[in-house]
Amino acid sequence: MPQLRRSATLVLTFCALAAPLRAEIAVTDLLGRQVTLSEPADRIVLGEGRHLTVLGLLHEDPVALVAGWRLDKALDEPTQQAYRARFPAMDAIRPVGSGNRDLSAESVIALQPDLLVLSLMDRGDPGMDRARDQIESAGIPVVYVDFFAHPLENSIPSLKILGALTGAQDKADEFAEFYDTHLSRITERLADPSIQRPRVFLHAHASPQGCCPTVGSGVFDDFITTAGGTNIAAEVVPGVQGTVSLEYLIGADPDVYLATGGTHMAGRGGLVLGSGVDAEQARASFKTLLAAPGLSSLPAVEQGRASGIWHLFNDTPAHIALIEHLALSFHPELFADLDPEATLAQIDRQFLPVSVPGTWWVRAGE
Amino acid sequence: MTVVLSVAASRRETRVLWAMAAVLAAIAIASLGVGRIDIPPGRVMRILLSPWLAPAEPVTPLEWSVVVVVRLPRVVMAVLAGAGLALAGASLQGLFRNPLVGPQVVGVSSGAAFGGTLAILLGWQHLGLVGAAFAFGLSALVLVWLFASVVSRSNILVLVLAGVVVSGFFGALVSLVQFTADSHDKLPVIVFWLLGSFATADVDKVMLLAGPLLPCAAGLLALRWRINILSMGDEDARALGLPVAGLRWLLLALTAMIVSAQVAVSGIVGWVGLVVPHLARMLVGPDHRVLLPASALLGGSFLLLVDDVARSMSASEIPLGILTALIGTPMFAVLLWRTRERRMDG
Repeated sequence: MPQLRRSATLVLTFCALAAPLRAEIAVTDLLGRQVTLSEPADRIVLGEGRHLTVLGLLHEDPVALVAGWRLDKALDEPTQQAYRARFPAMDAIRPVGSGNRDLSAESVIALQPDLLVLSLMDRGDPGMDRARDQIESAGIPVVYVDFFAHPLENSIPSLKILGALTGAQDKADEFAEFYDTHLSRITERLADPSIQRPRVFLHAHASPQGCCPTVGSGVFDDFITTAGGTNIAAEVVPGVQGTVSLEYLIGADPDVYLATGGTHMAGRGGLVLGSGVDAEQARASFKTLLAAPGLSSLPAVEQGRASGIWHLFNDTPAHIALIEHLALSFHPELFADLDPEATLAQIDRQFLPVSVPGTWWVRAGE
Repeated sequence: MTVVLSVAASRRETRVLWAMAAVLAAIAIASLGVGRIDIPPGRVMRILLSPWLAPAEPVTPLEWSVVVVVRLPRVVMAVLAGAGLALAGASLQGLFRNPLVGPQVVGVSSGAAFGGTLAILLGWQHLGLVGAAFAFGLSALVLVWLFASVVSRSNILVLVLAGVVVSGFFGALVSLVQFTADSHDKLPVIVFWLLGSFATADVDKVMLLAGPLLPCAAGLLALRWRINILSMGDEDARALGLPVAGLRWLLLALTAMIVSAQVAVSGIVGWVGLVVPHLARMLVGPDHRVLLPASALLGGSFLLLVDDVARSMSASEIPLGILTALIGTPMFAVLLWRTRERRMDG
């Protein structure tokens, strides 16, 4: 009995001494909130399902880390299929809410995760804030990241936050270095104020029938500006997104017409690009779009200064390849040495656990 | 003496109708020139006639694109939708013997709205959206008919209550669709569509609207003298040999087709069918033989002017539903006030 007591005392003493040695993980998220974990999170709930591919930049098996996700803003179907084929455990990920800004606090708490990852876009929504407070009061840490609202400013800090919280700091740093190298090549050359910046109109979720949803500040505006263009709709659209008339577009006479699309546009007869889309299908849908009444008569379209891009570049750090594509489109002489396809291929090869084939952009006259 | 007065009155009403038609034509020509790019009416006429009469100054691709490709389908759609809604409203007001009734009362708008939002959610394009809105608009009418049949098919109050019930039901379904729609992709499309707009007008949509609207409008105009008799009351109408129940359902079906077609191509545009018939009644009196065509002409002009405001005020279009409500509510309040004053004076 005294021996047992002595052993217990030794164990407790060792634990007491060892406790300060076990380093806590502390990060400051994008809202300036302190988030602390006792050890790297290996059971995560994602506020946005499509952030699984962001975790894929950091981990060989991102699915193993995800216990639940919100169905709103999920991965597109072809990407889901590719990940499911590689990681069948994906079917075990539990939904924790769906719809607009909907999150079930009860569902999250029931999963007992180490971490809930929310997006900056969730901030300030009363329902989301209430759910977050309930989840935090149950002892589950919540972190805010952003790859969407201000992608240039927040993507790498967000990736580093996730890297720190999931024990993949080295991988996050490696991607950050890759990203910065590619980005600085563009920003340094565009530093010359004498460079003419083309006036660009971005037609979001483009289809021949619906003209014209577009973007104001943030997201694609950041991409266009960084690539050396000027987003003309920023002057007339007060928020992140809005709609302008076809008449406005014709009157504005942009130098470049840029359309975004995805597999979600197939049902609407719009621009089809992205995961699982072959080049022929993408070209055909772009050709149909450019033949639409009103759009076909734009000088930018008539003169071949039109391009289509995958819409879902708007929520992944892989947008660096899109910025290269745009820079090459806007300033072909200045960026003749850029190879956005090679950049995407390198991201696939060096960072992502699953390679998803697809067509990510298309140019007029191709 | 009475005959002379009657002939004089009918001549005056005919002159008013011709004047309304001329005003509508003038507004239409002006509308083709109004917007982000202003084009004078004379130049608009030359652009329109350029395929047959080459103007001295050649038409630029920009001018052709703006006037013919973008604005012309939109102007035609606004005229058709406005005329259809006002005609439907005037017919329903006569049918229900109640000037506070509008096309929304039969539940058709809510049904069509649900069809459209469901189509957007499911990713159905163009024809699919129009078809779904149209189908659910008419199914709302069928539900109203079934509801009324169970209770009392001949009771007008039951019809109105059935319309309220069906509207509430489809309104809840619209909310459910909005709740489940993706907030970055589908939801903005649904919200903008529900608020009503002619921004997506093209030749195909004009044909889709005109297809059901023109024959149904012709049907209502052909029945306008019967609406006069119906508005006297069911007993008088029966005494004059009218099949009241059958005629009522025929009129409801025709108005439902018009409203469904309009909602299908341009979303919900409120107040036109309620306010415009009142204005027309002030100009030409309560005789449906003149009131119906007057309402149609006035409705076309009204909605065309509202659409001109919608597309000229800012680069980002103001949805029609918002503008018609902002303009329609004070107008309706003034009309009610004037009606009340007239009653008190009388």
